[in-house]
Amino acid sequence: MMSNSIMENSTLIADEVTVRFGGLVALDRVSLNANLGEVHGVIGPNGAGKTTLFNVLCGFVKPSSGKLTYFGNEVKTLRPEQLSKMGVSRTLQGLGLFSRMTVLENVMIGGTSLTKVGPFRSLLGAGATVTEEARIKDLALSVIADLGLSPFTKRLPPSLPYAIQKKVALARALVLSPKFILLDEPASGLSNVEMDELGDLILGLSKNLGVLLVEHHMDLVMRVCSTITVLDFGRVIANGNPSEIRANPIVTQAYLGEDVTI
Amino acid sequence: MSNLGNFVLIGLSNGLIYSVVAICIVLIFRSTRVINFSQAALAMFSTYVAVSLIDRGVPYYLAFLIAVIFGFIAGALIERFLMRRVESKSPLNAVIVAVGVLITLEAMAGVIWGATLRNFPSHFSLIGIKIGKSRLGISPFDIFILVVVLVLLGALVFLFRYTKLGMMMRASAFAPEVARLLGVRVGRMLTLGWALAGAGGAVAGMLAAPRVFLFPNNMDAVLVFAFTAAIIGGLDSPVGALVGGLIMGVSLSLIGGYLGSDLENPGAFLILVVVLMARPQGLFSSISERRV
Repeated sequence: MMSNSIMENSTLIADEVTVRFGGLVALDRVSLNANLGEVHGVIGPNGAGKTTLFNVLCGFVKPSSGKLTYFGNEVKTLRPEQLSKMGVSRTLQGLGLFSRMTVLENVMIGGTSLTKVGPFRSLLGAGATVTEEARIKDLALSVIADLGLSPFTKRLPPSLPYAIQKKVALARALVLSPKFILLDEPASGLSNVEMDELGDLILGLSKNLGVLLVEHHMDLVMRVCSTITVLDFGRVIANGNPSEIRANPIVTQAYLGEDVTI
Repeated sequence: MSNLGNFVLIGLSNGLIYSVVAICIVLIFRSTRVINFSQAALAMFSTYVAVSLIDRGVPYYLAFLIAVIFGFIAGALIERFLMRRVESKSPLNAVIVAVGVLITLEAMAGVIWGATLRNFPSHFSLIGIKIGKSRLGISPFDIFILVVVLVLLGALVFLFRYTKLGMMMRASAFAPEVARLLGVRVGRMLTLGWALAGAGGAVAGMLAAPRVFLFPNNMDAVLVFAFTAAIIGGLDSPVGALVGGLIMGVSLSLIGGYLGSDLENPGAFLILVVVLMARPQGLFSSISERRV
């Protein structure tokens, strides 16, 4: 049994988080506890609040009430760029790649939080900038190589197959060596073979970091996740391991009318 | 040399100055979707700073450098303390603030330095270079303009193409939300963009002043020409802005030379109208769906 403080230091905790957009309650007292070294799935029908939850976790949306604790620190008021520095990374639904930048440049941007030299000093061409850039470039190249993207380093994303572009987005989120990575529908648009590959990749990643996964493909979710949180209408309706979730009648009920087999 | 050749040469030289201002407009438009109407006033103000230094015996090149640094800092301050406040509002608010800055700076220049025409001492001869018996339309000063603009463009290309900082600025301009997610401090990138535009404006002001004299709104016409140049170039393409500036320079020089200089300003507007009607996305824009 881990002591309480060690547990807190290795977790990302959302406690009773509520988000209101005008009169609409997008998230209603949602709690979630994700750990390093595991894949935590967030599922639910369309409009259940999955992406809103991710937006809260990465700092895009400030919760109306509730608490966020990362590694023992309360982070509710932090901006995305500050969270990125703390080791929380995210991929977007769709791609969000910079279409006019090469694969290498896209991945290098992901390493921005590693820069210590400010923009104005950097403009003067301080020597530190040059070494720093070389370091980030090396890091980016090694992540690119890890994901098997080396042949595409100088290509522009729109000229690449969709599955490769998805990997570029993943590489960009990994270059910081984050402690937690939030993957928003990483499997959308992939073939079955590519999805199996993605599953292996996610399981591999979870050895070194915490993965939060929003995904519609239940096969993938059931295969890789150790814990699953189910949202419906902005509320947590179930929480548990894949077999518990599969057997939960409330979850099946929530998915009625949706083309998903759990 | 023939008149035509000389008109073209003069036009290219003027065009380079329009290009610099147009590139500054594009620099800010790309990252904020705001047309910076205060660009001209900032250029004029920086030039006044330089001329008052030169009057006090400061060497030309040092005064030039100080003007550029002044433009850089002024641009950064305007973004940080004025534009930042309207950033999240409608773009119209930002445009109105920019026009406000334009009017304020022009009025302040009038109060500080007097609203009268004044001669700007040129460091180089403005008289055409003589080759054999004929005199060319370009002077040593035009060569200086060419060198300065090429150095400036080279520096900008280097910054945006080959440095991480340039990448971060491009990322912020292209998708600010994604950039923030990746740890880019987008606010700082915007400040830097305005600072660079301020510095570029100062360069343009220093290059334009010996020809157009110096008075508080001496750069207004240049702004109109540069704005047209930026539109021709598609508003988000620096290369387009460069070419647009040259097209404007040569067109206006030809109009002025053959039809009379009174027709230069109406000519600029005519070009603007024709471009907006025939190809509203500009000649170089990659955004084909944009409509003005």
